[in-house]
Amino acid sequence: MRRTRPWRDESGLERMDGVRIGAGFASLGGMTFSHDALGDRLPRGVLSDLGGWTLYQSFRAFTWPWLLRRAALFWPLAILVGCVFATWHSAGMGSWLDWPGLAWRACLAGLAAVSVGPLLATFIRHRRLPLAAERVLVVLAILIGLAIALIAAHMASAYHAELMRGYAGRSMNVGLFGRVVSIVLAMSIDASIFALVIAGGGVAAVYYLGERRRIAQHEAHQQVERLRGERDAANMRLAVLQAQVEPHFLFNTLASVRSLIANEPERAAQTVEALGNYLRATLPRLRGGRVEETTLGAQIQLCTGYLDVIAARMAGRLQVRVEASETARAAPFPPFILLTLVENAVTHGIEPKVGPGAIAIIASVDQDQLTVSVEDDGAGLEPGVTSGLGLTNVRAQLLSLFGERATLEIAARPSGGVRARIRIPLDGP
Amino acid sequence: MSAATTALVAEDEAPQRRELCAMLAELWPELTIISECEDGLCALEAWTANPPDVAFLDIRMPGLNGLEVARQAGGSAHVVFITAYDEFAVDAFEAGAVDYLLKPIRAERLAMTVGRLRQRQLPAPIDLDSLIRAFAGRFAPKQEISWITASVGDIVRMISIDDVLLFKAEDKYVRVATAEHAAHIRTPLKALQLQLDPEIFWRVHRNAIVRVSAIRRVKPDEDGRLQIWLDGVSEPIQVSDSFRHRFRPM
Repeated sequence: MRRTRPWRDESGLERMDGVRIGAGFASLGGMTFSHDALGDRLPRGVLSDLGGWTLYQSFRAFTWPWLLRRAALFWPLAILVGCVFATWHSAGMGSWLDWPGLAWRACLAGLAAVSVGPLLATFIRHRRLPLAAERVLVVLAILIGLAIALIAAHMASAYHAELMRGYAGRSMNVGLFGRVVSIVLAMSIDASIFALVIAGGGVAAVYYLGERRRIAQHEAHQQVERLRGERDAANMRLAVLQAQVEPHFLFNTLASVRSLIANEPERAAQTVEALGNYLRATLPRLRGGRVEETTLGAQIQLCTGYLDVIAARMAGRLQVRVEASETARAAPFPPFILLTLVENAVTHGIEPKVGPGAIAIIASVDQDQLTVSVEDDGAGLEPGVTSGLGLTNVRAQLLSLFGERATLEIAARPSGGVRARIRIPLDGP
Repeated sequence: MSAATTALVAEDEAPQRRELCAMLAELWPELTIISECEDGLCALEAWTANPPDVAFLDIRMPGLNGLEVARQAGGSAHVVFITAYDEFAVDAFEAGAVDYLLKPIRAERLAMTVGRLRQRQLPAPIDLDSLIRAFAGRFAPKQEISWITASVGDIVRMISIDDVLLFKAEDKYVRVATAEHAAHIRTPLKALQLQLDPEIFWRVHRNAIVRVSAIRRVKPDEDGRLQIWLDGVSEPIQVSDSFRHRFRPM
């Protein structure tokens, strides 16, 4: 037999909180994001639209973790570009002796371009200067880095020009490789300043300047989400409390008991007993902090407790039938849902109906699915529109726990009355 | 007061009904209980067949609820409503002339009711209709629609509003379309619109309300009128000129 994880039910609500609030908030651990923790990863929502497609961009710009990861990406690129340049020259001139000298100069120029500005900026940022000063100095650092990169590039190309002077009058031996690189070089000369700005940290500087604003926006968004989650949880709590101690049910039962005492003391005793059982089953769940496992069996018991009270009051007008295998009873099942369906069957099905009525709770396990139905032969469904708070809560709870894998169907039965049917996956949420 | 004051008692639980009758007999010996009923239909029948001076009506009853019984019987009697719990209703009735009892009914409270009824010497009953309307309004405060009960094929189902993509007026009915089902209801679009979240559902035409998030494509037809295609709905929906502004490109 498969073992399924039982529900942890701390009044059911903590779980909802966890699901609803935690989903959007876990990345922040419920805390506001500290501007001092330079080494921390930024939460996803803070990344700009273009950011986040490489690892380094998920860190704050101009911090050590950012710099190292960026280097891991940009250094190989710089070296590759340098080597391709040297290879293009050597292959074209047929002189591989030129390769090492040209390659190291070109690589050095590339490495200077990608590293100097960001490195300076990172030093500055880790000095934790006042914000305005830091911003000015970071931008300055990037500009200095760009200047140094230009000088290095100039030195490399001067060396190349020097080499070319030795080959005066000879044309390049242009193969396919040479032609491709020529085209790329021709394009990137136009774009060289642009390329330097990207590689040299210009984009990162813009990103850096917008970082605080994005963090603030993200936090505001999180705050809204958290408040919304809290509101939903509070609404649910209220609805649950109301469902637990449905005043109409309680006072009606008391009235019933009082009127039975004089003439039918035995039935009065039965009703009080049934009420006691029901309250015992429900009230502990109102206490927070107590961990309780809820299975379908426990939920069915709660419902039969409730139905016993109704049946005692209705003096034989209500028949209750439960069909559930041991496997189904042992299956984990979220709290409140079944009771809501049973209460609906009583309030909207049996109570408005003239004459005797019947309610059946039927549960079965089929492969990986648990199906639970509540059927009544009562007043049936009346076409129209309703707000149906209880059912809406059931639906919301199923959706937040199982997503699309759970279904709730409410339909009239061909023989009269209503059937509410829930299907949930057995492997838990 | 004449000795022949008559009463009707309607309460679905027999022991509670008997208890109320016994209490009345003690507090108001001259009162004759002419009808005892255990559901709303029986109460209405007894009332019309044999109009009482006073009616004690449980609000939650099988068949017809107490409010409906009072409304349909017309204002020919003084009505005392009985219910287990409803604080709003208590407010509503405290302002009115009709009395309202909470279960379990206390003898002193019932004595007050009896006292009021006797003192008044049963003048012409007050206008119940408006009171009931006010009361019914408070009973079911207007809320947003979250379920639609309608026939899908030959089965009546409840459809969650979250599944609805389109409301389309067709002849006397409004078609409710989800990705899987199409159902018909009688509630007119105008009434639906008032109860739908305007952020989620947009009126785009005299005959259509659509779920905004389901809009897949908005395109003008040959005549330049806008048409909407919805995910899960095969036919295009016309946008009338008065709603066109909602689809201006941002």
